Amino acid sequence: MKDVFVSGDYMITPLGNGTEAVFDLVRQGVSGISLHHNPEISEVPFYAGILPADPGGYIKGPEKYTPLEEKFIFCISRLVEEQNIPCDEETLVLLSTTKGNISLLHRPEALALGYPPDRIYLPAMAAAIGRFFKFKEPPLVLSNACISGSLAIAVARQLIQTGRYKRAVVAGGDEVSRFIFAGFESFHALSPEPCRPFDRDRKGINLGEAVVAVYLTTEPHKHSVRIMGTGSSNDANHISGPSRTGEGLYRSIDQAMEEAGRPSLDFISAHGTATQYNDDMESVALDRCGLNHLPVHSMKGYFGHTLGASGLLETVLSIQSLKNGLLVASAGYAHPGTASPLQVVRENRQGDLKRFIKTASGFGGCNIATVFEKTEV
Amino acid sequence: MKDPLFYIQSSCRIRNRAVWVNGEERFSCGTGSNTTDGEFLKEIYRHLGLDYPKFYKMDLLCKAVFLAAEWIEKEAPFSGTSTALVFSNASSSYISDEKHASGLYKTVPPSASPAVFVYTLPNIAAGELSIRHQLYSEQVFFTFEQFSPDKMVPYQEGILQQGRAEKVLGGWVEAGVNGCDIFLYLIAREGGQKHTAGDLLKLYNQEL
Repeated sequence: MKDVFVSGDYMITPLGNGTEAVFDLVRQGVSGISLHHNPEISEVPFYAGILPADPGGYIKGPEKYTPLEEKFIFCISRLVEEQNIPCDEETLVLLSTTKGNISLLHRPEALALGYPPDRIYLPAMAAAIGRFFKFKEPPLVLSNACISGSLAIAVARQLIQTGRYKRAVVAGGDEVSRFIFAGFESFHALSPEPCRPFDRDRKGINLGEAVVAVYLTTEPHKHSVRIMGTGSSNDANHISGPSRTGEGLYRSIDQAMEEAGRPSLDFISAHGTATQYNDDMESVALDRCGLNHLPVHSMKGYFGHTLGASGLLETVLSIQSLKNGLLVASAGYAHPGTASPLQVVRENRQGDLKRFIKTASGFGGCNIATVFEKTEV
Repeated sequence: MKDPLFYIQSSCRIRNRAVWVNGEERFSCGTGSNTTDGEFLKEIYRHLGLDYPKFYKMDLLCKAVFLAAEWIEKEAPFSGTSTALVFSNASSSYISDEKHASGLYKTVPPSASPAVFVYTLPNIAAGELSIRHQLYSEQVFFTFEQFSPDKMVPYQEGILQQGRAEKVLGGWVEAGVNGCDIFLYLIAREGGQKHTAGDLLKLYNQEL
């Protein structure tokens, strides 16, 4: 099977734009989560990671783009320019999002700003982005709850391996909207304070915004990272609650490790949303896989849960850890308190890091795991 | 090496208040009927003699996908097997999105319900099938403006070629403002009809 590499990346986050700049703040312990007062999202103040309110000026295009589309276009443009990516029919463009422009739905005040109403539909959003780049075909869109970003990497890899495309740009993003905020609130899943993944006193998630893109190739470039294996499995248990046995995540990790040839790993970039049930489930699954002796961290304490971007954002930051030999502390963690014990990273740690596994889980019982390895070119 | 061929073992189409299985009409409520799609799906449920209380909690998309899968299961059983799910549609989870948004913007005081919000993700339909048929499989949900078998076929065959599953349940699963437009098909290494974009399009279009 053809090897596929992550050979470039770009990100837009509340900590700034560009992977190196963002990682530099993360290593200093700076969090993108802060207290927001925005009645369009919630009547009461809330902690979240929000991108600058006015993304205008990013893009001067021939048509009206929504704020999310502008960010996608900006992020993909930067990646395409930096990596000199050919925008032809051999390049797959795959977008990952849970809700796209859902903030336009039943919001006449948003539509009054001139955004075309059909852009609440994901294919229309993708087509608009495709028109900007003059792609021959509109980008593909994948919408698979909270595993979308990681799953999009796996899907793009498969389409490259089986010969349908030569290379891929995979971009993920979502907005924090009232739609999403009120939904998670109705589940009592939101934390009233900055989130604390894997901590004894964790109280739920913070929502976050980011748009992140990666470039996948079959030839390694300088600093490329090889995708060694992927696995994705459903819990077959419950549509909103994580499995108590971590069945789907356990199977996902097992498949990914099997494909990767069961290499030794240096750390785990977990999903770690900071809800009681999710973090417990992950601890059980990692225990069942015999991996809970490994250092594990969650990036949610720096960015919140960025939904369709999260798998991409956290993968790219872990790739920075490989490049810099720096394992980053899991923000918000102080006291152990998961169903099975975990080795959560409390402080930044220097070391020779070669491989990590990235995991994610989401509504609908979906799970995914991907193993990445630093290449020596 | 010649690419291995894959076949469509069974298919189910739900459209215009009729159910077609493997290209034959099996159930309908007659033309000119005022039956809504929601009512029609309940009629199918009763016709199949099902006893699955979770069905009544599902949104229109999940109900329609659930029933189409029941019909395929009778023709070509896949429960408990390694069957990946690759679904697609145009409007994602619009019916539930609209309901959730109405609660927030068109209701006084605004209200949100977890029982509605959980269905505001299209892949929940795959999750419901996983529970019903005990599928611990890979599941992917794409969105396209219309049924795009040329985009689905390479990914579906890739799953089988790479040995990630023994079968794939693929589908165009639309349930939006224009009602249900469901086409589910089971793909494996053996079967009657070839799994090509052209064959899928023919099956998708033939009943209309």
